[in-house]
Order: sequence, then structure tokens, then C-alpha cells
Amino acid sequence: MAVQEPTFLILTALAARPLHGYGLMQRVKELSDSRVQLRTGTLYGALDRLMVEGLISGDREEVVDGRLRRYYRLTDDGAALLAAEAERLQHNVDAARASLRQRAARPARPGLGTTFAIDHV
Amino acid sequence: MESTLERRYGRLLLTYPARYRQARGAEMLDTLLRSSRPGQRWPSPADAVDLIAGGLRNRAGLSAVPGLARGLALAGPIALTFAGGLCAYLIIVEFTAVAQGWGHDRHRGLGPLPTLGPIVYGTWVLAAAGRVALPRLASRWIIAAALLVTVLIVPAAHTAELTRPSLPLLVPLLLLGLVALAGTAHDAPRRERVGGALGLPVTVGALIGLTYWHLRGVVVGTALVTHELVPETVPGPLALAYGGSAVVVAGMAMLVLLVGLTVAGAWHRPALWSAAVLLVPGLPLVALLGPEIASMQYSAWAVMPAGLAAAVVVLALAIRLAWRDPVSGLAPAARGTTESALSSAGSFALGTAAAASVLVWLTHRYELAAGYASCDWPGCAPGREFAVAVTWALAAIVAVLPIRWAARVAVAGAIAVTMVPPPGADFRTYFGGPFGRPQLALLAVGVVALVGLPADPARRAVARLGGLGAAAALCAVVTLAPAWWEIGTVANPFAVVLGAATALVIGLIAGGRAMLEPMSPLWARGAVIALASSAWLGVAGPPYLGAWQAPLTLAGLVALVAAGAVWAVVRARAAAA
Repeated sequence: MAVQEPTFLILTALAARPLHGYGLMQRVKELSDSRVQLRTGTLYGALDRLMVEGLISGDREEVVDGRLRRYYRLTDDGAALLAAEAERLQHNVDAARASLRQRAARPARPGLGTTFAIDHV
Repeated sequence: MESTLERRYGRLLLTYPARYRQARGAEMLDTLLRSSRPGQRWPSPADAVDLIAGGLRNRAGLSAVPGLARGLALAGPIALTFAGGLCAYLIIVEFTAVAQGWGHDRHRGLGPLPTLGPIVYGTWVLAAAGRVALPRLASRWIIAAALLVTVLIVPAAHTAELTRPSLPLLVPLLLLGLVALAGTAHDAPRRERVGGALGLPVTVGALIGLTYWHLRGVVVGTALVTHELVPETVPGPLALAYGGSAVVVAGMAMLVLLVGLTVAGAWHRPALWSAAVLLVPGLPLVALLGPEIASMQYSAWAVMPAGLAAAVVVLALAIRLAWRDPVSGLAPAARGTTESALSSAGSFALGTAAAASVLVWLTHRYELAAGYASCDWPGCAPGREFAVAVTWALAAIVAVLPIRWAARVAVAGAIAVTMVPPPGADFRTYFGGPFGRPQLALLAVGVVALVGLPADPARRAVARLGGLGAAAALCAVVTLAPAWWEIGTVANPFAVVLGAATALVIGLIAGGRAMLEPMSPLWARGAVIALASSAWLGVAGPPYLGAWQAPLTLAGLVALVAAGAVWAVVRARAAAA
């Protein structure tokens, strides 16, 4: 099943290394060239859902400046789902590129301007 | 040291449940503060909305029940497309009826509109089209506007003394709109827009087709002549549908949709959850099918609230069965064990039996005193109804007492009093036909109470017993009370059957769940409860249930399939962990 883009980016961000909430937010923003900016309520809703579905799990906890910080990591199930999703997207990208190449190779159809030119000859 | 901003974010986090805040609050606060600008004193409005929405989603269990969020995201667009298609169909029906001079003699409209209906319908068609064509936010504003119009049309029509759509239509529209609003928080992908664009005409076509099928061969007869309303042309099925039949046709289409989604759920789990969510606007519509098919007295108010109550209970139970701790991701062992599910089903059944029997007695007494009913049919015994009501009420009270076996003995006594025919009435008339329905309903509900309630008082949680009893009583009152003042006959079998239906659907779920554990000592108890519940809803239904057989069997099956699927997922995950 197709994964929504924010979910895909969260899984991608966690694939490299465990991250905490704020780090994850930043990484998702970087990965998407600032297109996807998760807010805290949305981020933790997504993390809860992914944990319940067994795709991510809690990693170590740290206390920085007197505040708790919990890290999250990708589970094997999560990695498998991400790999399958990447495969699916790759397939679509390949198909799109191949179609575009065919379009480029085909001789251009005479457009409206050409028709006018012929009329005036 | 706590800053002003930190305190304000902390206040916003109060939208989350306390248990969740304990586990995640500090960590979320850290994330919020780190993503704030230096010197910022107030949370940004976007963050505030996001946190409030997140807290409400958390409380609804959307992130703690696997598949529910995706099911809602599927149910939202489906609900919107259904509402839009239904409303387009209603506009067609209304103007066809006007064109053919049918059914508008007593209606008062506004300008060129025959009634206020097209105003409501038009906003829903716009909302459905908006989801196809507009960005997410714009389309959600139209949905909110359509919801507002649907609610405000009632006082507006009252004040201006104009004709509005009937409540059996407005209430399901309102519920469909709420599902649509909740389930369209995501951007519509291309696939969904195409689905909506195709779904609208398909829905309208299906509704028109069902209208022709439902009203085939209907002859405009003597009723017209007596009302001096002979139209110039004979109205076709589409015009005839104006009024009650259009709502019935909508119920049929909803039934098809619910069955389709449930079947699709076997391959695609979110479809099953979307069916469970759509039960809430769907069952009040589907419930209207019963009386119409049976050509019995039509009272939307007697059946619509019951359908809604049953749908909410089924959805809440499905969510509760699948709920998992969002912090650990695990199904908590202490929550919802099989034994407590059986016990809950028993408590709910006992509360229903007590409330239903007391209401039946009171109603009949009132009707006899007021001269609305006679007592010339076999088996009519107001004294017996009083005895039945007292024994069930006593059983409900005794079940709360900490005495071993007390609950079971009291329930067995109540069943015995219910089952012995009164002197002079033969067995067949007491149990057969429409007058036998209350007795059979009480027997089925009684068996669930007898087997479901644990013998050991320590295992019968008094607080939950009381709470469930109160909920069941409320369900029964909501179901039976409108029948009391609107239909005015105690023998109205639908009322009692519906009062029992919710308790029996719960019995089916709890019993089915116990039967999934073949090694457990609870298996036999679960089997008896499932059998008693399904015997009434399905197998033993046809001779007694009449028209209710189809929707009730469906409700039972939907509940069974949903519970089974949800439970299988939970078990598979527990086994994997």
C-alpha cells in the first residue's frame, strides 16, 4: 500500500540513525527541501501510529538541559516497508523516464503555427 | 526555570490524555521549545491548532488503533461522495415531483424553490465537487459550511414557516458530513480526486436505479382521489420517491456500500475500518428499511436513534478491542481481557432486560388507562408484565450485591417468570407471532446475562456493572420511548427487538472473542453467548423478526467480521512481539 509522503520521509530519516523529535523534524525538512515541515502534534501522532504498527520503536533516552529527549529508531519491519516503498517509487520513476525518452525521440507534430505557414504558401 | 512560552505550551498539551502526557509530555515540550524562535512568548497559531487537533486525535484513539487512521481517511471521501451523490439525486427527485405535480400541495418554498431542501442539498453537492477540484483547505471550509446549513435549516424553516427536509434525512446527512470533515484532513491525491469525480455520477445513477426497482409497479390509487389530488399526468417512480421513499432508497444504497466495504475489508484492512466508521451515519439510514419493507407503521424516530446507538456501540467496541498503548506500541494485558468482555456483555444485557421490561409494563399500563390499547388478545396480562418487570429490575439490583451466585440465581428466576405463559394463554400465542417477540427478546438477552455474569462477586466490578446497566437502560429508553408516544402500541415488535439488538450485538462480539481461544475455559461460555445472540439476530430470526431480519443480521455479521479481523490483527502482533 502506498505510504503518505510525511510517513515516507520519517522512515527515511530514521533509516540512517536514531533521531529525537526535534532532530527528526529538522531532517524531514532537509530531506524534502523544506516542502514538508512537520509540527509537533502531527509528528508525535505519526510516531505513535508507526510505533503501534511496529515500524519504529523507542531507542535510548537522554536528559539535556534538564529536559527529557527520547530517540526513535527504525525496526526491521519498518526497514522492509521502506525498501518496498522505495522499490515501488523507483519503478514509477523509471517508467516515467522511459515514457519521456520515447516522447523526446518521436518527431514533433506540426503545431498550429506550421499549419498557418502552409496556408500562406 | 519555566518560561512563559513553556507554560503556554504546557497548557496546550492539556488536550492530550493525562496518561499520555505523563509518558510523552516532557519530550514534546522539548521538541516544541527547540523549534521556537529566540524570544518567542506565544505559541504560533499553527502550532496551537496542530496540538489541539493532535490531542483530540489521540483521545479518539486514531494513532493507538492500527489501521483506524487510514480507515477514516478512506471513510471521509466516501462519506462526502455519498452525501453529494445523494443530494444531487434528491434535487432531481424534488424537481421531477414538481414538474409532474406530485406531493407539493402543502409545501412552502422560497422563490423558485419548492421547499428549502435544494439549499441544503446544493451545499453538499458543492462540498463533494470541492474535494475533487479545490485544494484541501478550501474544500474543508465548504464541508463546514454545508454542516452549518444542515443544522441551521431546522430553526430557519421553523421561524419562516417554510418546508424543510425531514429529520431522518438531515440527521444522516449531518453524520456523513462529520465523518467527511474528520476524514479529509489529508491532501487529496490524484487517485482520490478521480474516485470522487467518478463516484458522484455513479452514486446518483445507483440511487435512480434503486428508485425504479423499489417503486416498480406502484399504482397511484384511491388515496389520491380521497385527497382530491388527482394529478394531470401519472407521476413516474422518480416523482413518487419524493418524501419517504427517497430516504428508503438512500438506506438501500448505504446497505450496498457497507456490505461492499466489509467484503473489501478481507483484502484491504482500512476498508474494514472505513465500514466501521460509516456504520455511524449508515445504520440510522439502514434501520429505516425495516418498517418500510414490512409496510408497517412508519416511525423514523423509533428506529433511527436505535440504529445510531447500535452503530456507536459497535464502533466503540471495535476501537476498544484493537486499542494499543501508543507509548509502548503493545496491547496492554490488563485492558479488555476475554473474561471482562463476557462480563460486560452480561451486564449490558441485564441492564437492557430490566429497562425494556419496565418500559413495556409502564407503556402498556398507560395505554390501557388512556384507552389507546385493548386487552382482548390472547396472552394479554398486565399483571404478568408487572411481575416480569419487577423480577428483571430485582435481578439488576441483586447483581451488584457481593453475594456468590446471586446474580445468576436472580437472572434465572427472571427468565423463568418471563417464560411461563399466563393462565389462559396457550404456549403458541404467548411465544409466536408479534406478541411473542418481547418474550423471545428477553429470553435471548437473559441467556447472555445468565452466562456472561461471573458467579464470583469479586470478578463482577460493581462500578462497571452500574455504568453498563445505566448505558443499557439509556439505550432501551432511547429506543422504546419514542415508540411510546409516537406509535402508541406496546406490541410494536420493532421497539422491543431493537432494544435487545444492541445488547445482542455486544454479546456476539464478546462471545466470538472468547471462541477464538479454543484452549480457554471461557470457550463454552463464549459459545453459548454467541449462539444466543446470533440465534436471535440470524437463525431464529426469520419467523419473528420479519423485516428486521436483513438489517439486524447484517449488523451482526458486520460486528462479527470486524471483531474477528481486529482480534486476529491484535493476536498476530502479540505473537510477533
